[in-house]
This record gives sequence, C-alpha cells and structure tokens, in this order.
Amino acid sequence: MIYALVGNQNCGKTTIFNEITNMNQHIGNFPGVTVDIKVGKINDNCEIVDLPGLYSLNTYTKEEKISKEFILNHKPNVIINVVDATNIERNLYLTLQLKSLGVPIVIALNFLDELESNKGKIDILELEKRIGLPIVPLTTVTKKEVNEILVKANQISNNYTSIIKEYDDVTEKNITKKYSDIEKICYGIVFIPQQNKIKKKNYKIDKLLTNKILGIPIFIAIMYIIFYLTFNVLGEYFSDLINLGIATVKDLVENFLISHHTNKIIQTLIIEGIFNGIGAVLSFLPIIIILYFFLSLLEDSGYMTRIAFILDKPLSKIGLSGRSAVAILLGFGCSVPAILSTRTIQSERERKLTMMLVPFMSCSAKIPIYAIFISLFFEKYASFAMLLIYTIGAIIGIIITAILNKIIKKEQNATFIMELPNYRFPTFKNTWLLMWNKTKEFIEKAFSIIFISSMAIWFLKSFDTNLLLVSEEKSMLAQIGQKISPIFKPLGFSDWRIVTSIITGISAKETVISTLSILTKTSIETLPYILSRIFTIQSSISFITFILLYTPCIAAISTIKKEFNLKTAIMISVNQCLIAYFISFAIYRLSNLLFYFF
Amino acid sequence: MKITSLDKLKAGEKGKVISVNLTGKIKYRLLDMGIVKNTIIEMTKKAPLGDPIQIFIKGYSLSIRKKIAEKIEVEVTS
Repeated sequence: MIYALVGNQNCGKTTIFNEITNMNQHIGNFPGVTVDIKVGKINDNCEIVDLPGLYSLNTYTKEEKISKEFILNHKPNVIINVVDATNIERNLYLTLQLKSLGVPIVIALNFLDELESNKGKIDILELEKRIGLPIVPLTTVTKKEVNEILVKANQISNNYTSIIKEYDDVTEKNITKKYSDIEKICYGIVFIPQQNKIKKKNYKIDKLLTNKILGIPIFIAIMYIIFYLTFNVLGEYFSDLINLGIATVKDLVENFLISHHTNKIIQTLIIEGIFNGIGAVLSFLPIIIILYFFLSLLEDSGYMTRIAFILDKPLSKIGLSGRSAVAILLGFGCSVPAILSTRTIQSERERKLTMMLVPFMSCSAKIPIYAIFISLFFEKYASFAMLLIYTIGAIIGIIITAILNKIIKKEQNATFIMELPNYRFPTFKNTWLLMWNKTKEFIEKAFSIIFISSMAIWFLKSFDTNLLLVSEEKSMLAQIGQKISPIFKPLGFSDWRIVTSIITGISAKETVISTLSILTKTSIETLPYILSRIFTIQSSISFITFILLYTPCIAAISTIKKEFNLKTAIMISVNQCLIAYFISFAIYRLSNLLFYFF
Repeated sequence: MKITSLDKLKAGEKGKVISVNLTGKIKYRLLDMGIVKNTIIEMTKKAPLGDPIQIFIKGYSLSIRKKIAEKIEVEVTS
C-alpha cells in the first residue's frame, strides 16, 4: 500500500513525514516518475511518500505537475491531505479538488496550537460532517497524533474504488464557486480573529527583514555571518578534530601493516591511496554539514521566501525571478538540489536561465580546495578571501546570464507569484534529519565515487603501461598528465599532478584534493607545504579561479540532462570550461602585472 | 465607492476584488490562490526596491509583481 502526503506549500508536511518515518526514509524511484520523491516505510506492506507541495490541481509549476501526476498515475491507496488551520480557506481549496478524484482522503489539520494561541477556533466535528472527510487534529505533531492519522488512513484504505481523472476546474466560474462553497463550509464553525497575533508578529518581523532601507543590508549581513561561522569558527574547529582522528587511525594502521611485514604495494595502497585520498575529503565534512544547517534554517524559518521577495526586482532585470534566489543560495551547498529546486519556477525560460547560473555559485565540495590555498597564501583573511571567491563566481555568472537574457527569445508568461509563509521556528527534528541525511549522502559518496577514484589514481600513478611498479614521474598518469599539461601553461600551472587533479575533479570536486594528496604522497596536514613549492601566489589565484568556474561535476551534469536535455547539459559544461579558461588566463596575466609593479 | 487597480492601494488599505483582467495560466493561478471576485485584499507593503508587492488575503501573505497587480481591479473599502 502507498499513502501519499499531499498539501499546500508551507503546511508542515515534512514535519509530519519526519515524525512518521524518522530515519526510515530514502529517495524512491517510481517507474515513469523521472524525479526523486521521498519515501518512508510505515511497516512491511505500507509506504508513505512525501509529495512536493501544491496549491491546486491546475498545476502551475513543474513541481506541482510532479505531485499531480503521481496521484493520477501511481494511485496512492490513501491521500493524507495536510491542511494548515491558520490558513484554512485556501488549503481547503485543494482538499475539495482532491475529493472530486474519488481517492480516500484523511485530513491532517495542522497548526491548531498556533490557531488557539491566536484565539481562533474550529469546530472539528462539524467541519468533518460538512466536508465529508475524516479529520485528525494536530498540534505539536507528536508520535501519538501521527499514529492517529495512520489508524484513520488504514480504516478508509478499502474505500478505494477508481480514480476520476477529470475534474472541471479550469474556468473562472468553477473556481469562484469552489471558494464560495468553502465559505459556506466554514461559516459559523471556523473563527479566525481579523487582527490576530500571528499576523502582527509576521508584520513586525517583516518590518525589519524586508525594510525599505535595511532589508538588503540585513540580507548581506546574514549571509556574511553564515559564511564567517561556517568557515572560520565552527567548521575549522570540527575539521581539526576529524583530522586528528584520521591521523591517529592512519598511524595505527600503518604501524600494524609494518609490524606484520605486509606487502609493500598493499601498504602504499592503503596509506597513500585510501587514507590520504578519503581522509582529505572526510575532514571537510563538518564545514559542508554546517553550511547545510544554515541553509535549512533559512528555508524552514520562512526567511528564504523573503530573500526571494527582496531580490525579485534585481533578478528580473537579468531574466530571472525571485524564486531563482532559492536555487542560487542552494547552489552554494550543492548544484544538484539547486537545479532540482528550479522546479518551483513557472516559466521555462526563467528556469533554464536559473539552471545556467547555478554552476557559477561555488558548491560546497570546492571548499576544501579553496581552504588549502587560502591557508597557503592568505591565512589572515580567510573568510574575506572565501567571500571574495564566492562573489567573483556570482558576478561572472550574473554577467553571463545578462548576456544570455539578451540572446534567448522572450517569453509571455514569466512572472512571480509566491506565498510569504508565517515565520516559524525550525523544528529540531527537521533540521537534525536533514543534517543526518546530508552526512549519510556525503559519507556514501566518500566511500563510493571518491574511494574508487582514489584507488584508480593510486593505480595509475604507481604503475607504467607495462604494469611495472615505477616512481610516479614515469607512471601512466604522469604520461597522460604531461600530454595535457601544456594546455594549462598559459594559466600558470602546468605541473602534471595539478592538471590530473583538475581532470579527476570532473567526477566529483572533492577528488581534486584527494588526487593532490595521493600524487604528492602526503596527508592533508602537510599538503599545503608541498603545494607552496609548486604554486606561486599568482598561479594559485589562477588555479582557484579555474576551479571556481570550470565544468560542474558528473552528478550535476546528469541532473541538468534529466531536467532539460543532453544538449543543454553538454553546452553548460563546455561553456563553463571555456569561461574558466579565459578568465583564469586574464586573472593570471593581470596579477603578474600587478606583482611586477608593486 | 472608488474603483482602482490593486497596485494603487496604499499600505494598510483594503480593497474588494472586482475583476482579474488577465488571461491564461497566470489568471488561473491567481484565482487558485483565492483572488476571486468579492475577496478582500489588504495591501501590506512594497519590496525594498519597489517591486514586487506583498498583499494579505484569506489569512495569508502573497507576493506578486506590480505588473500583475495593475490588472486586478478592486473597490477600495477602507
């Protein structure tokens, strides 16, 4: 059996999903559905899916289309319709549409605690009668409350007959009638005070956060604080801790291998290949998780939509919309969810432009690379240097988007319609589960793609084409790297090890550092020292710029392919490489010139 | 009784929807979101850079571009 959680955006669906499934959730693949939908297990023969939020079955965005198609084609046995009690009229609009489909529905009436603290009231028994669907009242979404939902869902799961795919909504008359039906349903049993506390509270917070004068400076300040805490304070502390742990384990293993006279090749494979490779990547886990922590706070608190509100006008100047802001910010975490988040953008043109801008937002996997080079030459200005790198990426992206906006044909339907949800405290459980899932994803990646590429690199750098064990200067990898490296000479870095790391970086950006570690036969602590002998300040700036701008990783490219097509995906990666090459070249020449004069 | 377009309302002013003079997907989305005839809309504020605007309707806040608000005709009620 499948239960589907369906509801408007911001109705608290994910909180309910998390309470039902806890850590038993994964991204599911459904035949015919080309996108990822979260699935959780209830018991051996029952699963629950968390569908993207939608306001209406007259779908407007790609995300809404996904939810609608899931309901129509995968025929969930029961729909659990989450309704926000503080905003009941608009929420019930979707409920009435769902009801006409003929699928058994149980309503989860959420945020009743907020409603009550606001001196509002709903006669639930009477509402149940008038609307003709079972209702489960929710306050703080406890285990007991969600169990009640599951019990009710189980009771009605046999009422399923067949799904009616036709519903007659797409005229003004029908929509207006539905809303007047809702007014009749609510009449006398739903009481929400006009001047209420929630409204006042939101108004007050907005007065500051979307203030005419202070709104934009506050946004910039918040972003700076997040960067500062992530890179300078928390991230550094936890990374040092993990480094220490990895070094200790590595020493233990090394001593063990030596004392047991293990084969020399196996020793170097384990120490140089695996420990240096994966260790270099794992030590940056805390920074990445902390960045996700802050991004999830922005999203769950409701501030993300205010960012979209503030930035819609400037973004519309380059053919984007306020909603693109969400994708842009998520891009600082990872391009993949950022590209997926463009599904909330209605216009295909805006969506495509946003997707093309996302790779310019430096993803968190590149952080280790910057961190090492900053520690080499710009230690004192760490967070400023980081911010500078991110800003340069963003500015170049904006210029490119502005140019594309002039070239690509204009579209009629582009606009911006977005709910500004109530400010809410992010729940501990949602934030924690998100961080847990990201950690899991990252560790899985470290032990799959990064593990394999570490082994492959170790193999290629240890043997020559006759499979003889040789020093790395004579290895297969050196031979390949040396063939390609002249291309990068004009950019100031032609060492074959550096060039190799750029190429492996296409598989995942984390492998740039693991490759450098393996090729220089060093661990993450001593890597900066080795690199300082390969790079000058100028060439390191050029290298960072290249890393910042060149092609997105395989995962991002394949996401673009899934969301658009192969042509767009290839075009984006080739463009990024060309842009990276020319800008790094320009920056290298310019910085040489500056250093010559000063 | 004063009839005007939604974007002309001042912060805090309310209006009753008379008509939504748009076509296609945008129109139906506005209707879906509850901007139907006779609904009361309150103008909350403009974004820091003057566009889009924030309105309060059926118990929630919605943000739309001025260009759309120009096409929504309202009767000023307070």
